Amino acid sequence: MSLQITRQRLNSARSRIEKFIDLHITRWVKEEILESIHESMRVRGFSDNAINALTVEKTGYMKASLIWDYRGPNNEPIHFFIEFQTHPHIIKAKGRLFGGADALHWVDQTGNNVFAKKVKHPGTTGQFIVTNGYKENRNKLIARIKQETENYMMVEQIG
Amino acid sequence: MADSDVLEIPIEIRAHDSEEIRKLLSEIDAAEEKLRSVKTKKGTRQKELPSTGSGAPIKYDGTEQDTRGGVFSKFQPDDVLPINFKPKDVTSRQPMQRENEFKRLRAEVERQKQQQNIIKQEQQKTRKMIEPLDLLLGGALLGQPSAGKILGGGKALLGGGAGMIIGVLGDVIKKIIPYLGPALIAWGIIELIIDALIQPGAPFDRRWRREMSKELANLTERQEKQSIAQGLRAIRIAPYSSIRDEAPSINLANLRNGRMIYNQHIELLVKHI
Repeated sequence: MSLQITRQRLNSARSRIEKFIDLHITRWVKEEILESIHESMRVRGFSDNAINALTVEKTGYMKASLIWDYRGPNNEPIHFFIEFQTHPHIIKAKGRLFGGADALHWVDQTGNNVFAKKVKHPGTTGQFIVTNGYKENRNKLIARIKQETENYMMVEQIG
Repeated sequence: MADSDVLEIPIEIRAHDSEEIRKLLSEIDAAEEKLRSVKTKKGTRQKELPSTGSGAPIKYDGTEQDTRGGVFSKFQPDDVLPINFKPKDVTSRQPMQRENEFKRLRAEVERQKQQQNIIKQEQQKTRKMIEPLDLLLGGALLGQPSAGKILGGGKALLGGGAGMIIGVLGDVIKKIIPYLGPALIAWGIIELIIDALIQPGAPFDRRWRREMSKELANLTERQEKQSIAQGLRAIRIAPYSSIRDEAPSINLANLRNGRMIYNQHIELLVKHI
């Protein structure tokens, strides 16, 4: 009988702790990880759109995900290009037939207009801003969860 | 879940405390399992089973109690069961247990006998209760000339029972009959006279008659009445005293004065069309 009561109490305590964590996980991830990554993005000069595209979503019971979905005008996944590296590639003008221009155009450092049919892009190096941000702040999140859970257990007189 | 072409870093929490609790629970399970096995060894099979020798199946003698629960449990005498619930006899070999028809009929006959006895007893009780009254009425209630016996067996005063009552009534009716016929004829004549007096046109005509002096609406002018009759004025009926009463019909008044009561151009102008 006493074993059954102990089991019931343990089960109850476990479910209460887990529910508490599940209820607040999104807020904790936002406060401990997302805000730090946003700050580092601001320091590096990311646009507001790019910063706001990185969000936290609840994906399951006691689960949350950092999601970055930053796209260009033609739905290009720019978040991948920034986060990971891009190989050297050739950029060609789209052409009028396909709804673009016949030539590429940009202004160089001296202020002159430059036109070209195609250019060779050297590629970019990956910044790993989200991945590294998560790795750097993961311990902060763990500490926060520990502290919050201990406080909760103290208030609820669990344990 | 996010799309596959977005950057997603999943974060899953596995609480350390929760793991500890899981371990504790598994330890409790193990302890309970051990306890159950110890109980089984100690509590059951204390009595040696009868040796069959020849390999025949061991007959269940009903003395050993089965400690298993759930679907394996059998009904115990102390179990709380619904009314008229008859559990299956586990010792019987029959798959379905039917009631013996002969026994059922015999029980029914017994039940009816008991009912008849009860009715007889009630009758006797009632008889005892009304016996003193019956003595006074000369056996009219119970149909026995008991009073006659008490008074010496004669019919002198109260003897005769029900016959005496009928005799008395007969005498009364005999006396009434000579007066009954003329009385009925007189009532018929009176009814005829009353009908003649109240029939239509007679002096006491009961029908509703109009009295013009009471019907005149003296407060309303004839002109107003006429304008109401022609539809030039309307009578508004409303619970609010301010809007109740007569009101001039504006459309009709306008029509009479040659004003246009509907103008399509004005209507369109008002609607901004």
